[in-house]
Amino acid sequence: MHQGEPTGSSRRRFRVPSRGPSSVVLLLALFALSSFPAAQESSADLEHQVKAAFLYNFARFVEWPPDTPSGEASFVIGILGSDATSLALEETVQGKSVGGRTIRVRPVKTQEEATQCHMLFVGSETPDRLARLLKAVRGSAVLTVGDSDTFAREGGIVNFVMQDHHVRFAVNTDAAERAGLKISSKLLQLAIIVHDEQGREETK
Amino acid sequence: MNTSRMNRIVSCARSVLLALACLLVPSGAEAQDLPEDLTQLPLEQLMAIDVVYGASKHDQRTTEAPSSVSVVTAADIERYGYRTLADVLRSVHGFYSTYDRNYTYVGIRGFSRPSDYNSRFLLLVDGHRVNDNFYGSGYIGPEGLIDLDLVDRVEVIRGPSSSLYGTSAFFAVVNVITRMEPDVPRLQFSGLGASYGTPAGRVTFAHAFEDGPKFLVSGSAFRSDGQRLFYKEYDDPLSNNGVTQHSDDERNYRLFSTMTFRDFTVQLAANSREKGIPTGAYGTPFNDPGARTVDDRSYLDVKYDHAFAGGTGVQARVYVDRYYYRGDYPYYSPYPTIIRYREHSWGDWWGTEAKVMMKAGTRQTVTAGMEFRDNLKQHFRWKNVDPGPLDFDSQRSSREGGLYFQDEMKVSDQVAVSVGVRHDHYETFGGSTHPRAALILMPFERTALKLLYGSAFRAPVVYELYYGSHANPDLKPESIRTFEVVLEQYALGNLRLTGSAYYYAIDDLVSVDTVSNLFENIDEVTAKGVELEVAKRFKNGFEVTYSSTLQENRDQGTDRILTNSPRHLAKLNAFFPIKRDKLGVGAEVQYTSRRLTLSGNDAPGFAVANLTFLSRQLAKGLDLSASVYNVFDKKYGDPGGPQHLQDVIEQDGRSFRLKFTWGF
Repeated sequence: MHQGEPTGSSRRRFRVPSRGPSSVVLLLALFALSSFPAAQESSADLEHQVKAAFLYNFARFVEWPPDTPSGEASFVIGILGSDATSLALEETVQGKSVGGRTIRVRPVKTQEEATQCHMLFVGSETPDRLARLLKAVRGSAVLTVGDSDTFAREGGIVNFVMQDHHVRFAVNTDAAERAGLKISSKLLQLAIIVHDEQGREETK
Repeated sequence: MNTSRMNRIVSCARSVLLALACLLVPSGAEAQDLPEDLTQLPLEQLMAIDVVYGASKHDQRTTEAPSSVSVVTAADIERYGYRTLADVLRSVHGFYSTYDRNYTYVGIRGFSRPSDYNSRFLLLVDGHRVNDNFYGSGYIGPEGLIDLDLVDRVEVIRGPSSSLYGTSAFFAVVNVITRMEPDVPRLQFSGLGASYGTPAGRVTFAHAFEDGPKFLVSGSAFRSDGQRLFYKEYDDPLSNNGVTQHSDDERNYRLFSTMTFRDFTVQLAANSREKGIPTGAYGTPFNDPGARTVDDRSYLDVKYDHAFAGGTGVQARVYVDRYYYRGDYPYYSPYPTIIRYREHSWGDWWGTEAKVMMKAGTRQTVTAGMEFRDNLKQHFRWKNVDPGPLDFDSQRSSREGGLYFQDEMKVSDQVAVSVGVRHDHYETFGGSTHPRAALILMPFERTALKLLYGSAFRAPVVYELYYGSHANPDLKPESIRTFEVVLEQYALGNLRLTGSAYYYAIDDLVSVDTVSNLFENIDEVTAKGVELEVAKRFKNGFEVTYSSTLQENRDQGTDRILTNSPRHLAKLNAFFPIKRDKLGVGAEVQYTSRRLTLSGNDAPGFAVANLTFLSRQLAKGLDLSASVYNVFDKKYGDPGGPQHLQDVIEQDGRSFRLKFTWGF
């Protein structure tokens, strides 16, 4: 085996640079910059961005009864159970306008707050809390959107379904009707239509 | 403080960053129309977006994936002017590459034995295993199977994944996901010119029939004259004074097509690549353009993917694969008479996979699957070309299969557990069982802490068992056990922090024994390291990612650091939008610290910067990009392998690429 000097011209000396201070300053600079609002998640969060974009489209393709909720110039999307989709919502949908109203995204803590929303996104919830919540908003014109596969069948209106690494959505037309929401045919064409689970039918 | 070039680059980058920080004015709640703003897309297109797949063989949020995952998207590929999968992998933390002017070898977390054949990581294209059945290679350089223009994203899953994927999933799994109609225009042309006489072109046609199948067909051709190179090891009048000309040429032809109809996807991929060997490797006469290799790889894959209501899914595939290698090696016998030897490897195999994924309630996902591969042909021939006696000709066949099971449980909103195990059986050496377990804690909003244990194996490949110059039929599989802690933190304002610390223990590593001169399961290696990555995107589209990796890989027998194992890797990527989504500049700087060579010297550390100017929609459907690689013309080299006289093989200096893509 030949024992040679590493390749390189004699004009240039190779040295291992000390990079410590530079990278520290660089990191600090990045942290300092982190207070700016930003628009998009990293590519790894594509799923959440897609879901947020869907929610925005739901707001566009669903018609609410004219009197709900009163008085505000804003369209309220409530968030229950915070996760990355909520984050994507805050960052890409908040501030956009739909039907002349500015979209506001706000966390929801109480059942009363839940009924004050146009749309309610339920990230992840324990089954019993979920049942209580759905009961609370029942009868109000709130478009409930869930992230679990069974959400719509259990009385929610819309839920996301992951299919073949694509985001799809299911709509419970019975529940939409109960809430007095008109879902455009364009949306229904693309949706998986589900109905109330048997035995859970509400007597009117 | 030393004022080396690296520091100047870093401080330059730093001042640019800080200047930008001063310029950026925080804007209010008024969201802007961003180029990548998905809310602008029609619903149909949203439904066509494919989201992350890979770490657990089914869709999953990256924060819940039981490993450290990086994703490089088509946008990144365009912005930073990536030419090959090697460019893509070099941009993610913990990865580096080595090029010996014939093949490109991947290095993962400080592990890259000079001229191992990329058999310690698993390469997938849309879930189809690319590693061949002869050398176990997954090619990542210009010799790669897939044109990067057709890639939607590359998912890099670190750590061992044998519990799902079996052999080769040793240090990482790299899943390349291709684009599909409607993400590509109906007809697209791409052409480029690059330094060293390198033209390349591509034609892609995609179409979706109303309620019928959608398909994509693409052909690419790449050619390079290569360079005039000087190697001081050959600086002698008998070998052209160390100068080699016309022996660094390369060409690669690729064909790719995919068709989906309802639940079925049929994919056909093929490539043929030929490369001259300019280094005088294996004792061939220096500056003889007759020393060259050809690698052909192709497959036909039929996949069935069905999702039932309630989250249950079934996926099955059946495939036929082929690999062919031809190596031409001239030799002096005796000087100046030249005899040409030619060797061939053929690998033909077919296989099938099936898996079922069931959602048991809302909190549990169970995946079970099987895999079977039948290596119809593993054939090796080595002969004298200028007709002579056939020296060696041998053919084998073998079978292998595996069963696996994985259970992911959401114990509560804060805790998820994932356990998996896979058993493989090989005709060649017998059985091997590998578990994996992950505990994922999400104690706070936007924080995930993953505690990971994994194990994996690499079955000895046919080349090591029967055909290589050091072949040993008694080889056992190599095995690895790993412990890793991963922390992922999303902060407000789109800041993402990822950190991980890992410990790897590798046993029975196949190496050439100095006494018997055969491959033996001799080496034990421990690897430990820490990785940190910070990424941030801004409202105006500016984005920056910085990562740093510290690692130490030690041979337990000799207590020495491994060869070709840098202690430190640092990567900086920044994209500066100049005019919204029309015009932008992508800059990257990659630092690799010194690496030990086979002769015990050092290949010095280096930093390389690349710059890409991207202009989109210059005219309707026309995109242009101009790239400068190794902007500062840094002289650096990668450690050579045992077949090289060169201890360090010098890499490319400054080079250019101009590329256009036109679609309508």
